[in-house]
Amino acid sequence: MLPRIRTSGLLLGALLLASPGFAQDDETKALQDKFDAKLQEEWLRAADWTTDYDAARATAAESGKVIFAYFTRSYSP
Amino acid sequence: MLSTEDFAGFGSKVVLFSHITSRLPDAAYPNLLSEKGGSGFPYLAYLDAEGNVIGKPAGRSVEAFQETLDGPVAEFLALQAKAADGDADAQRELFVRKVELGHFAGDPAAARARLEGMDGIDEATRERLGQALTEQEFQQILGSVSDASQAAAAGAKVAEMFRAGRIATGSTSLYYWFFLGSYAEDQKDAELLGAVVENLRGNQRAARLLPRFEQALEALKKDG
Repeated sequence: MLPRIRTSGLLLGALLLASPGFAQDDETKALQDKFDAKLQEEWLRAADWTTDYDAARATAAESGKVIFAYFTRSYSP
Repeated sequence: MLSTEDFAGFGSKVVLFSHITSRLPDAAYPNLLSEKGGSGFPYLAYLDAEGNVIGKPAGRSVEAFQETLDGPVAEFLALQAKAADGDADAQRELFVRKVELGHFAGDPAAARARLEGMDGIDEATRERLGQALTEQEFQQILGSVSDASQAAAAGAKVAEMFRAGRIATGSTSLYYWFFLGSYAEDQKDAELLGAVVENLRGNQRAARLLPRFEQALEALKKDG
């Protein structure tokens, strides 16, 4: 079973605390590291996934198949 | 489950696409989750080649994925083909399905106008679709906010919705009132803030928000 995690509670908490703006350099590096680590997870290699939205749509148009879209995140566990 | 052979077998029948929300400044399609009707992780959806949502898996297993593909997704595609052939009933049913699936989330006003002028839809369905468009409109606003600096713009949009009688009541509705209350506070609009306070009273999820807005309302009233 995949755990369900709502983003909105975190968003509201951040807004209530008036959190600082977008990621600064250090934060960006940390986010990039987390994103790179996500790309190395086993499930992405166990099947023929693409993380490129344009490529997914092009493949669907060519093959006549529908897209199975899985939305996940890397910035937080 | 996504690493199993069963899933890989299922995956060969579809195009497997994963969108990873990274919050990186240069990320492609950063709001794709909300644009496709998602509000939390993980979120699963079937899309057509244009990126429209054409179904949502009924469960989180390979069997459920396959059942949705063979059932609702196949039915949607058949309905679409029938509508394209000029079948009026199919065109009406397709419109209903598209509203339910969020195809008009980016332009709810156009969908509302079409809904109003459409014959053969009973009042209960019309009302349900109108509320679905309201929820989708708010999800678009919510999805566009990633930090506090964007809350003011979101509040102005929510105020427009509220004044037009479009009130979100779904699972993220607390944020509707948060944006609206913050906007009213910022605009020093006591009447609007009063409406927010009235709507939040009795809402147990609003335990943090209500005192803040009540205090702000009192302050506004004192300032005249």
